[in-house]
Parts: sequence; C-alpha cells; structure tokens
Amino acid sequence: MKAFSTLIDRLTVTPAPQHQIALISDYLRQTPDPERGYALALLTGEMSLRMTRPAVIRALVEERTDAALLDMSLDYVGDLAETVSLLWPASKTNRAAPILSELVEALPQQASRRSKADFPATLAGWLDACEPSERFTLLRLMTGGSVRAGVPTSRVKAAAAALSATVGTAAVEEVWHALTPPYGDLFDWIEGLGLRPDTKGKPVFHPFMLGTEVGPETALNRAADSDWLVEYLWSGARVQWVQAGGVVRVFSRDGDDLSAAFPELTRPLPVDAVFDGQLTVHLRTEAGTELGTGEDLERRMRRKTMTPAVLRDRPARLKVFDILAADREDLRNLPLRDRRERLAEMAGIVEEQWLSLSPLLNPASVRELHQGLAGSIGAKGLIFKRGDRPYGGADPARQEGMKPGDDWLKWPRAALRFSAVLLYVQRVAGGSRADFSEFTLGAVTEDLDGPALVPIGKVSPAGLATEDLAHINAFAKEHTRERFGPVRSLEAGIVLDVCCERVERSARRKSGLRLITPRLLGLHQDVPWQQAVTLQSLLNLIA
Amino acid sequence: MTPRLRRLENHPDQWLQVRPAGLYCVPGDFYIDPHRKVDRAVITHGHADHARAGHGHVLTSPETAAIMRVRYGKNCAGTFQELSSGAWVDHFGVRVGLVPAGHVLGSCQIVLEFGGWRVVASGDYKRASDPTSADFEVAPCDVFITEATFGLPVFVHERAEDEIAKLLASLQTFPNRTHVMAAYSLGKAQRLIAELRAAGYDMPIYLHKAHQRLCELYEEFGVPLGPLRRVESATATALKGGVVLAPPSASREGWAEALTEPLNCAASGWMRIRKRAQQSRAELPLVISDHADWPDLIRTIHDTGAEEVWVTHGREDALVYYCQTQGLRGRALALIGREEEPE
Ligand SMILES: [Zn+2]
Repeated sequence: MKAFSTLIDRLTVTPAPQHQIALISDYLRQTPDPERGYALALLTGEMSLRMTRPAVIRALVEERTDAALLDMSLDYVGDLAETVSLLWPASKTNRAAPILSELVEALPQQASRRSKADFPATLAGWLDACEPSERFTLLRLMTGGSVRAGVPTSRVKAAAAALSATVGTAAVEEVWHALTPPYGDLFDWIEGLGLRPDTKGKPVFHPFMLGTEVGPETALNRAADSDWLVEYLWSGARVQWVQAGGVVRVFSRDGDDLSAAFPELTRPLPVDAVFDGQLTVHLRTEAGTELGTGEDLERRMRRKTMTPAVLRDRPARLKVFDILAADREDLRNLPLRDRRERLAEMAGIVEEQWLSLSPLLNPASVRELHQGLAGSIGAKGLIFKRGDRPYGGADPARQEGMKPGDDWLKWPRAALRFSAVLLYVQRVAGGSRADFSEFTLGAVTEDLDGPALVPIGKVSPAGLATEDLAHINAFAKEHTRERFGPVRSLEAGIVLDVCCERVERSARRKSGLRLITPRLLGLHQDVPWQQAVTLQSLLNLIA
Repeated sequence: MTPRLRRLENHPDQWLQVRPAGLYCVPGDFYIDPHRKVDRAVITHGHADHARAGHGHVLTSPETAAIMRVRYGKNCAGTFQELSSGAWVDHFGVRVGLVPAGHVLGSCQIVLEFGGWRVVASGDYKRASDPTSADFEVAPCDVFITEATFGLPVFVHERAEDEIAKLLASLQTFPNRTHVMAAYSLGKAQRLIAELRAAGYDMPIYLHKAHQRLCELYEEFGVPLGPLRRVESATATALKGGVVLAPPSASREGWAEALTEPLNCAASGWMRIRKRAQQSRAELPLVISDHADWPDLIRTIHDTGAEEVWVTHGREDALVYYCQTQGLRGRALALIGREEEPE
C-alpha cells in the first residue's frame, strides 16, 4: 500500500506526461505480481474497490475523536477522506498496512450481508495499520473515489510498455481489452517470460492512424494528384467501433471503452467488423435532428447511467470512413482504395440508422468544398488520404504508436481571428520559465454605464513571445484589481490577438458561448480595450 | 523545582502583558521577541519575525546573537548579552534563563521566575530530532506560553528520514533532473543538508548565495554540512541530477532558467495538506517542519505540568479548546506581527 499511495501522491503533483510515465513504470518495475496488476487496474479505472459510504467512515472517526476538533479540522481541510487520514489516531499494531490484493480479496465478501455488518471493524483495523498517506488512498478506494490523478489510460499503458525493450505502447493498447486484472499474462509478455496474450475473437482496440495538419498549398497539390482521395474532416469524436464474436465495443482515441455511454451503437451487426469513424451527438427538435455541440458530446461521454430520454433526445451517430477488419479478416495491410471497397460492401449489408458512410469527394472541387464548410454539415475541414497505403503506415510506426504520418493530411477550416481583453492571469508559483499558466479572456458588452467586459474563455499563454509576457507582467504589477490565490484580476488594458477553430453555443456559461481550441497569436500594443471583439459578434459566429 | 510560594497577586496575568510591541515583562522592563524596536529585548531565535534589528539591549543565546549579526550587521543591537542555556541572570527581581527549543540553531525557550511563579515562553519549537539544533528540553512551569503554527489535529509531520528517502528515490527515478529545493536560509536549509548527509548522500549540494553565509556559520558552530558549492557558478550540466537549495523567490534567476526540466521540491509542515501542496506547485512536497506538530504540541503541554497555557501565534482555537477539555486554563494571546511563519 505504501508504494502505491506514494505513487498516487506523486502523480497528483507531477504535470508532465513523460514524468508521470517514469513514476508509474518505476512502480511497476519494483512491485511484484499480482499487486502491480491491481494497481494497473485502479490507475486505468478498470476496477473499483468501493466497499462503503462516506457516512460509515465519518461514524468511525467520530468514535475516535473529539467532535469539536473534528469539525475544526474538516473546516480547514475540506475533504473528509483527507481529514480522516490525518486525524485517525496512531496506534501500535503489529499488522502491516493492507496490500491491494488483500483489498481485492475482501471485495466479494463485502457483498454478503453478514460481513457487511463486520466491515467497519475491518476497515478500522486497516486504518490502524496505515500511515496518513496510505489511509488517504485507502479511504478514496473504499468510497469508490478515483485515484487516477488525471492520468489518461494511454499513459498508464505506455508506462507498462516501458518495462519492455520490444513491446511498444501501441502493442499494449492492442491486447489491453482482451485482458483482465491482475494482468499476469500482460506482464509475462512485456517482460519476455510469455507469449503475446491471445486476442483472437475478442473485441480489442486497434491503434489509430493519425494525420498531419497542412495548409492550402499542400492540400491543393494533393487534390491534383490521383494517388490521393479526399473526404470531409468531420467534427465530433474519433472512435473505433469494434465487433468481435458478436460483442461490440466503442473505443475512444485513448483506447478507453465508451460502450456504456453509447448503448445505441452496440447492437451487433450480421458480421464482425472494425470501423474507424467519427462519433457525433444530435439533438432531437420539432423539425428533426440537428448536430449537437462538442459540449453535448462530452456530456454524453461522461454519463454513468443512461436513460431512455437521453437516447431519444440526444442520439449518437457514427460516420464511418475506414474499415480495419471484416468477418475476422485483418484488413489493415490492404491499400486504402481496397479497404474503401470493402467498406462500401459492408455498408451495403448494414441497415442501421446510427451508421452512415463518409463519402469520397470530388478532388476537382476541393476549393469550393473547403469554402462551403461553414454550413451545417458538421465538417471542420477536408482530409487527403493516400489511396495506396495500408492503415497505420509502416510497421515500425505502428509499434511506436500514435505518431502522425504523412499518408493522411488534414486541411482544417480557416480559424476565426479576433482581439480580446485580458481579464485574469494565473501565475506559476514554482515555475522557472513562464510567468503565467493561464489567461482568461473577455469580450466587450454594452452596459448601462457604457462598455463592460464579460469572460469568454481561458487560453494558455504559450503563443506569446517573451517580450509580450514581460509587458503583461509589468502591466499586472501596476494594474492588479484583486488577487485570489495565484489568480489576479487585471484592469482592462491588455488586448490580445486570438484565434480559435470555431465558436459554440454553451448554456452553462455566462457568455453563452464556448471557444473551441483558442490560441494566442500576439499582443496588440495600441488597441484600446473598447475596440476589442464584442460578445454579440462572437455569438453571431456560432454556426 | 524548589517549593515556591505562589501568591495570587503575583499571578503572571499581572506582570506579563501584551503590548503593541509584543509580550512585555513589567517588573523586568523587557519584551520577548518584540516586533518593533525596544530598549530591552529577550530573543528566542533568529527568524525574522522574532529577531529584529535596532533594539537597545538584546539578551539571547550566543548562536542567535551570531545569527543576528550575520543577518543584520555587527551593530544591529546596542549591546548583546549572551546567555548559555542552563545559565541564569537576575534582572530587577526577575530570574531569566534559556532552555533549548529544538527549532533552529541557537533557538531557546525563555524561562521567567517572578513572585513564586514560573513561566516558560517557548518561542518556536519542535521535538523531532534535528542534527543541526540542540534537542528540545522540557522546562516545568506554571504557565506555558506556546506557539501553535500547526495547532490543528490534522498536522502530523512525517519523520524527516522517511521524507529524505523520498527525495533520494526521486533522484533515482529522475537521474537527469535537477532537484531544486525551496528552503528558507535559516534552519530549514541546513537541516535538509544535514538530513541528506545522515542518509548517506555525499555528493556536493548546491547552494544559493542567500544560504551560504548561514551555512558557514552553522559549520563554525560545529554542525558539519559536507561538500557545498555555489549554484550561481555551476553549469546546467553539473547540476544535472543534483540537489540545489535556494530561497523560494530565486526561481527566475539565470541558473534556474538554464535548467532543463528542474524538479521543484518543497519541505514544510504545510505540505501535509494536499491543497496547499498543490498550490506550492512543487512536484515533490515533503512534510518536514521546524515546528511541533499537533501530537507534540499537546504532549509538550502535558510534559511541562503547566496549569495554564497561553497560545501566541498560529491556530489558537483548537489548542485553547483542547486545553479546556483537559481542565487547563487556555488563553489566546492576540500578538500582532506574527503572521503565518513562512517555513
Ligand atoms: Zn521560527
């Protein structure tokens, strides 16, 4: 438990992906089976050790501490699990802190009614044997809280792959969904003690083929070249639809299983297949259905439970543009043109409302198509794909995993560009290079007393030059209105050059809109803030 | 303790007062750790919120006097009267003695005897072992004036050697990253160095210029710190995989800017609270403190045998409440000028 809780503690405060991977793979290297396997399952969210409710924990600590001191402590710390982890009286016990395997063994017992009554005593015994940091992790696990520290599953898989010199992240991702905790066969394979786990007949993830972004020049060149096919670049979420042995799974770009959130997509087809496509969520209106925003999509992805109303009013759709396997045959080594033919055949025998084929476009009219993207067809650009290439490119690239290749080239719709006022800056307290970690931007509105500002979104300061940051730093020193911890609100005065992919409606925000992938291009030195973009003109940009 | 006759009219309430400049001893006409310039001051230890420059006469330990001279200059007080721990002086009928507080080099509790009553002002203190500071000694008394920086039951510090082990493990996991430890220059820096040495770390440790003079002073007082180098003259290559100690404010200096992927560390009792550790943005927050944690605060109160506990600074509420539950008279002294000690 100690090594695991130390790992969780460190992951929580380690921002860089490569450093998180180093911490996790160090842990996996030093921890025996099956302990590390359960850790892997908890870090990827594949397993839950929920055994009790916060109320039970609260009752336990109330028996052991003064009520007033508990209240003062809770008030100061905020979090119950953390407070209890620190307040729990140290006791002399010969017992060692429980290891994850011990907790896993207790899980089924916990289901029976008799041991449910015994559970508080069991938990108290565990807490007695733990140190504060272990107690915190234990309590989080017991109440079903996440210990994932915001680390995406792909990073955890990369850390497992780092134990091997030959097995890459993509290879681990490919077998992952055929495995179950504590993953003994995975570790055996990675460490050269066993064969690759068998994935035949199981719905597993296949690493995605990725594209590179290009500008109009390259794009128009490719359009003129008959080796290349042209399609729409759809908005929505890239997913992989897998059916094997009649079982369907929908995987996210990170290889996470989204099936539970999209049950309408999991009805099996007459034959097994693997599709690459784009997932969208639609809103049922009186007139029919219209494409939902990115926010609608995220909200459905986050749902833990599904209701008939959601399925009726927010249906999901899949636009398929590639096929990786059909009827147990791996098609990834076929050229795209051949895969496209197989895909058309398959589409011919499938009659499902949720599934449609992404059409091939006429290369002669790409310029017009690109200009016409602003309409509501739901495309965010065009993509050019080499017709004679296999899926995933060359084999070494596939081993390496998610490297974008040159066989797919994306030409996104031109970005929106406007000027916005800097409202809040957040400082990096311990950072050495950048002064700021986040900016909040504002747009101009007309108030009764004249022009006012309303926040429209946050953006990373990354795009600014050092001298621009120095200028903002100097301004912030003189013109701070209020401080909230590391955040300062500034007087209006700094106007920034901003671009974003598009603007979406957002009911949850005061501004009523959301900027999609905003970036900073520079600083406008001589523009008065009143001349920055107005909220109304941004709202007008919502497609 | 010799049997003493304690008269109620001589109760310390009568002769120890909170005044604008700080805690004042009426018959002795002196202040304890005043935060303004005064004629006569008795000083517990060298931290800036306890030891200020410009007093007329200062009574303190030889180490604290030396620290004050290093920090504020030779003439930072009119006269210094150095008193070793265990020795006593008599001043207008008030007996004054110093007892080690275990906080930083030279830190002492101040023992006052007057009118049959014995009062101990702890200053800042800790009871955990520290190779750079004399161990805390329990001074039995009637009234114990305690600090309460970590006066909530959630503050339970870790053992320093366990936390140092985390730092050493991190150096193994990230052998190319410079571990930059934010530490104040009096006490914390030297203790971290000494704990690293005790754990067997014998590589040169890189110091910011702000730390150099006090580290030299510690060594002059017989605290060995091993090989130390100045960080400003080291190349980024030399610093790779090394340990740097610098004040928290130094992160934008040239040497720091030149580091690729530095790993920021922090060592303080505040790191116990996850939200605060996250706010510090340290990737390695270590719970090492120069102050007593809650279990040690309440243990010390009982050890002194005091019937009355005055709480000077920190989180008074919980400690005062605790004293009341134990049948002791607890009282919060509203001393100004004692903000949260940056530790
Ligand atoms: Zn101090």
